[in-house]
Amino acid sequence: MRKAGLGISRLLRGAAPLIVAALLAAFMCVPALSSPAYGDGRWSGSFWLDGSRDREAVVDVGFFIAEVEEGATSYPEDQSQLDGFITGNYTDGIILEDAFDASDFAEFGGELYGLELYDLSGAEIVERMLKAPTEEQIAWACAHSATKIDYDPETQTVVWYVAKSTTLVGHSYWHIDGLLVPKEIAPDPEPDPEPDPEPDPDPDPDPDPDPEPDPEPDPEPDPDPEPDPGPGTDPDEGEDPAPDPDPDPEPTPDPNPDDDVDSDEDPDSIINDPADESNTGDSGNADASAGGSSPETIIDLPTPAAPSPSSSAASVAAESASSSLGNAIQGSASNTLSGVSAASGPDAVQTASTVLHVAGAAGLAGTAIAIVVANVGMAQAGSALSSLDSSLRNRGKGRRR
Amino acid sequence: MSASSKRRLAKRFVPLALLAVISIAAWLVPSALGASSSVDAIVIVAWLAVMALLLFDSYRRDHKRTQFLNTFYVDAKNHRMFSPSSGLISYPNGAYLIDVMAIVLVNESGAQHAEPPADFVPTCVVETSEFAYVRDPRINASAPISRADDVTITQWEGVICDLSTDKEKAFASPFDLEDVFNPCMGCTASGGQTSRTMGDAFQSMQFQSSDSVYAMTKRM
Repeated sequence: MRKAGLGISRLLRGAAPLIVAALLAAFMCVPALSSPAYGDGRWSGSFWLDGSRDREAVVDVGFFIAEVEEGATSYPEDQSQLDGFITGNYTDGIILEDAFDASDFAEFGGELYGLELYDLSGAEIVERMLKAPTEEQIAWACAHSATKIDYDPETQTVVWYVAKSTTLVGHSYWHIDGLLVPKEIAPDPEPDPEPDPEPDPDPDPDPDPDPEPDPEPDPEPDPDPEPDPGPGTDPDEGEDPAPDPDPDPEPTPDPNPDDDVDSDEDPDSIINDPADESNTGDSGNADASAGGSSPETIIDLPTPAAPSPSSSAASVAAESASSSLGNAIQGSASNTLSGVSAASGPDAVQTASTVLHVAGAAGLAGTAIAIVVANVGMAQAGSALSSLDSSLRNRGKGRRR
Repeated sequence: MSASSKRRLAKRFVPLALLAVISIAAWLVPSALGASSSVDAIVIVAWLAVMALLLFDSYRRDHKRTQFLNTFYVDAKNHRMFSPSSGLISYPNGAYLIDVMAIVLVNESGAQHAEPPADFVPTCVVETSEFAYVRDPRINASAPISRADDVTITQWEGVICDLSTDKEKAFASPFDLEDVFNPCMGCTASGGQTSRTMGDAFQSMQFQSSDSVYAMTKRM
């Protein structure tokens, strides 16, 4: 009785604390493990799939377009101006595969969520964009948003000004936000390496050219010091949302807008992103997002966007925009994600999920700890009884001697 | 397993089982709502595996502890018996000692164990490895047994160790115990019934715990 299983007992006695410690460590690691957002982002929602991929790979991106206030005469120069610049209406996501080169983000190390590249001029974004939505895709998204957004490719362009990676309940995805602005106020995201000695001719020349220079200075100086050489820009460039070569404040529509956009993008790749976030351009730590899925699948996800708490106007805008983000873009049955149209608040979902995971982990760990404590108590009692047994037997044997 | 032991076990493990079920449910809810589930499943499986090991270890420790509690140390010269679960028992007649041990085994609660008096020196040790019984259905399941004829012993296995000779003799039933125990103790067998009655022996038998002395109910 006393020797039976003694080896196993010692083994288990020594191993049990280690096992419990490993279990607790696993619990602590689970949140990190379950929410990796590597730069690949097939939106599969699978940790193992994501984790096995090269984090420097190009990523799929959901493009979201924000409507700006009507009559805007100048492009925002900073965050405060941006807050009052947008109306809060957003299109649904236009998801393009392998559309963004996230390799630069690898230098931050670790997971690639919660990162952000913010550049109101759009240059930094466009530089890393491998694909951009076509005019047709933009027009379709604008037309099918919950709140219809007017889009005229002749007079408007999209300035992609922020790229973010976010995560929710183990999913991660990247999205790029753009501002749908008149071309005359849009900044040139790509500085011209070659100064143009000749001012770009106005495609719609004034029949009565004014010999005098325009006495009215441009109310918003073009951030691009170099005028755009004109249509037909670098094909490697992701997009030239709004070349504004004419210093004349008179609107001069781009004769060939977005020619360099990757126009061979399969329209079927337009799918609805289940969520967006406030396009506030703040540091990105308040990102709200929803999990993604393979574009090939049809899933229902709790969606949309919660406004960034750090931005008042943009938060309101994003809140109203979020209601439209769950709407699926029609026309591509196999690639359409059916989201929830109501703004359920991904922050709340994420918080609830985290709370449930923490509570569950605490309960499981508590159960394990309680059993370990009980085992320790029984071990101590057994040890005392064993000592008592030995003592009494020795007494009996002592009498015999 | 005695009724008190079952109650103790239920009190200890039912809340833990409920907590575990609720925790697993909470853990799996996000997965049910569409979150990644592969890690969740791994965590749950790992946790169940750890629980299986811990519960096995717990069962083994409890079994070992129960065996110690169910060991009787008999001082035949002074007609005293000590059990960790019941304390010191004086018996005037060895013929009824087996019944007393049976009652102690039935009522074993697994609570704090008693300490033997300093002058207690056993001559033999009765180790019980397996013990099973059936209560009289008329007896309240939660009431302690005070009479041996309130239960029917269906299994009683163990070893008697004669400390004077260091020889061990195994027994596998109450009859074996009597056959082995009585000659060892110099007692005479009192019968061949599976369920023995303590009868008038209760009149004079006293159970002495470490802090109290109480007389068993006299059987009329």
